[in-house]
Amino acid sequence: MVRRTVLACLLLATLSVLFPAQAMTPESWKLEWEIDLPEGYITTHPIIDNGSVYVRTSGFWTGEERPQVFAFSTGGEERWNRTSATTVQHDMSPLLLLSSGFGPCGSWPDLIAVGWADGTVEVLRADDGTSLWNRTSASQGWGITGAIAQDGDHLVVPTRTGMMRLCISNGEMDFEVELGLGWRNGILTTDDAFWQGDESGNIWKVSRNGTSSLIADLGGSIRHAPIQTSSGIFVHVQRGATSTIHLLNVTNGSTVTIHQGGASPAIPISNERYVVTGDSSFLSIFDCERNCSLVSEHPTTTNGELAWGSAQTVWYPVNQPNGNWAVTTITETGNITSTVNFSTPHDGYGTAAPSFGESRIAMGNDAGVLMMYVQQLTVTTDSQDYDWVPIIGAILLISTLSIGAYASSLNRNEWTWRLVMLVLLVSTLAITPDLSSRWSQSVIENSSTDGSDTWNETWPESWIDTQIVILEIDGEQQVVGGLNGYQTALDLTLAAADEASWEVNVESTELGSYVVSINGEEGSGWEYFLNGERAGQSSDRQTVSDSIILHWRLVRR
Amino acid sequence: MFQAFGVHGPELTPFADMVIDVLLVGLAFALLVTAPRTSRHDVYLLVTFVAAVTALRVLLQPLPNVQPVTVAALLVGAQLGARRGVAFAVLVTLLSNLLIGDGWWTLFQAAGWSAVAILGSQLNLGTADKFRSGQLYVAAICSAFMFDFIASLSIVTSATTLSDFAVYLAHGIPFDVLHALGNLTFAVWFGHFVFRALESIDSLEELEQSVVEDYVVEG
Repeated sequence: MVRRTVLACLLLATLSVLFPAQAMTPESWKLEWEIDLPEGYITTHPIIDNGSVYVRTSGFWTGEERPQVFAFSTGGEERWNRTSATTVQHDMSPLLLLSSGFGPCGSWPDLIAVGWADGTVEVLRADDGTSLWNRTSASQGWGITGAIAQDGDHLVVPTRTGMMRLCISNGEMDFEVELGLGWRNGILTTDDAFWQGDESGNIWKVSRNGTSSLIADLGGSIRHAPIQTSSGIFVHVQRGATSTIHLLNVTNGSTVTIHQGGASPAIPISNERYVVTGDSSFLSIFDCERNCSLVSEHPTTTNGELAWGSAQTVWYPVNQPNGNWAVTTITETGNITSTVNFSTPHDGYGTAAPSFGESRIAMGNDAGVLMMYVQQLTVTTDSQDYDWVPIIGAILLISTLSIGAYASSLNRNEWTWRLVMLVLLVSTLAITPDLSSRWSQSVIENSSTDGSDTWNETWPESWIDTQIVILEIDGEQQVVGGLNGYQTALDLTLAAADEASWEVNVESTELGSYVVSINGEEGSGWEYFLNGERAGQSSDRQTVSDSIILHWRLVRR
Repeated sequence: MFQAFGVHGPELTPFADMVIDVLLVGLAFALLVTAPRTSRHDVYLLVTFVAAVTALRVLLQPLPNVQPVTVAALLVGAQLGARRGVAFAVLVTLLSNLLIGDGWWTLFQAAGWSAVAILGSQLNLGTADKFRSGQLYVAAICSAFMFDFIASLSIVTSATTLSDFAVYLAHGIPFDVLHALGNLTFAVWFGHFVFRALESIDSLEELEQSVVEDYVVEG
């Protein structure tokens, strides 16, 4: 019986190694064809559908060239193209495929909705490119640059000055509202309303009858469609050389700042649990089942579109002189396991995400070349993309225990205990970071404060009920207050450092991020206190409330 | 608990560091030379054991609070007596900290492992043929908490309150448990083997006993 158990375990382990889940790896794709589109960038993703690929260009604005929308067969043969002679700026509103359908306002065939930079919204027949209808909207320097959304039998269009809702079948207007000026801002559609950001950092809510209300003013610029998550509405705000990420509570309109990011944010994407953002510094994964807390980051520069390649791979253009596309794989817990490059013959600056069809990927960048990749027939597995650690760990532990059981059956109890202890130790080591983190949180919650960090009467009243950071070196204190919405002690520290121009050096370890030095001072370590209570875990894992005094103290005696 | 925080007490000047190291080395050699009849073979074996445990500690340093030195100190104390046990503990602490980080805490770690060696010297683990593993396992678990407590004293300064220290200790409990589990694993895997290997070195107490007996016989 024991031998059978051992054999079954070994068989299971062997099968797991031989047949891992297949990843969408760059190596499994082959360039089938490419077409150099005349005089234009490709700044937004193509669409692959039903044997066709649709793509739009954004003109270089030299000579007579003008932006176009093209349709090709998936074999690379051009089917039709549509030129706008009147558009006025770079066209970057993503094409929207509207599958044939019907609704109270009429029926329609397969269509492509196009927002032009002169403010025109036009609906083209997918089969021949003829215009079904078009409607103009206001243009101030440019017109439509954001993503049009489908809302049943209507289109909701982010115009330069606001939003309009049009019937798909005939273009009849349902409503048009004035909001803030927009640039590449899209629309979030919820059951009761439409949500849109603008260039002043405002978040607008437009009810289904067209009544608009200003919900929040975050400053900066919102250049993507807000994202609905289980923790609230997620927005990535561009601010000069940095960016900030916020959550909006749709019930009371309050906002919290959850993270500070790099410059020029990309258009974030989400699945049921995670939101992925990009900027000039990082690709970042946020877990919105845990208040959209930051889970992992990968250093890169990506400023345009991101796309899910599968449930756990994110594809994105690296916006650098020799930039390619990159594929980042995340685990079910949101941790980044690998990032591999997808290089093409036309690497360079780019902001357009790839598009996925059945066994096909279409992609283009600022070089203006549309490339079609097909999946190779040979099945390849890529150990780089597959997260082997958990499966190998599980196999080793199970095998070890099985061998222990076998030793026990031979009355070799000494070996049984050895193997059991080894498994126990390895398992405990694996859970220690998480366990110690939760334990420390519990210790802090259950221990009483010594009250040494209480409100200082010399502080401004505007700091009451805000987040305050004290930096103490050799008894001298610097204080930054009036901060709001930071979720972890590290984020709060970095925000204060940004405001007060402190230089913070953080080192990442298995047990979390540790502040190594502040303003070049290392001493024999930095310790921190929350409302006077010594914290017991790394600052990136220590959550902080909205009203907190975070005190960093240099230990040096 | 030691590695749960990034703070290790007072920062020492290089001179103070050197003074502590010299004092500890002096203590270790003083304890070793008090052995009346230590053969060259015994010295080689002990030095080899010090080097092996030092290397193992450095190698396992990435694993939080898995400390092979603790069980080794217990066994050396049990087999060779308190004085050689303390010398062993001090030398391993000094050598390994030279590689992974020296400072004020070295003094407390050396004290912690010395205390463990003294605890070991009080154990009666029998002989290699009749090894009392149960005693070793219990001692391995207890010594983890004892060492961690002594090492944690390094963070105490005049500004540290009892409550601060208690919270500090409480934060470290998961790491204490991990230390105990690591000790138990080392004891189960290598306890008997190391005990037998050390048996080839006559214990200081045995040597002293034989010297006394020689004198008595000659007298």
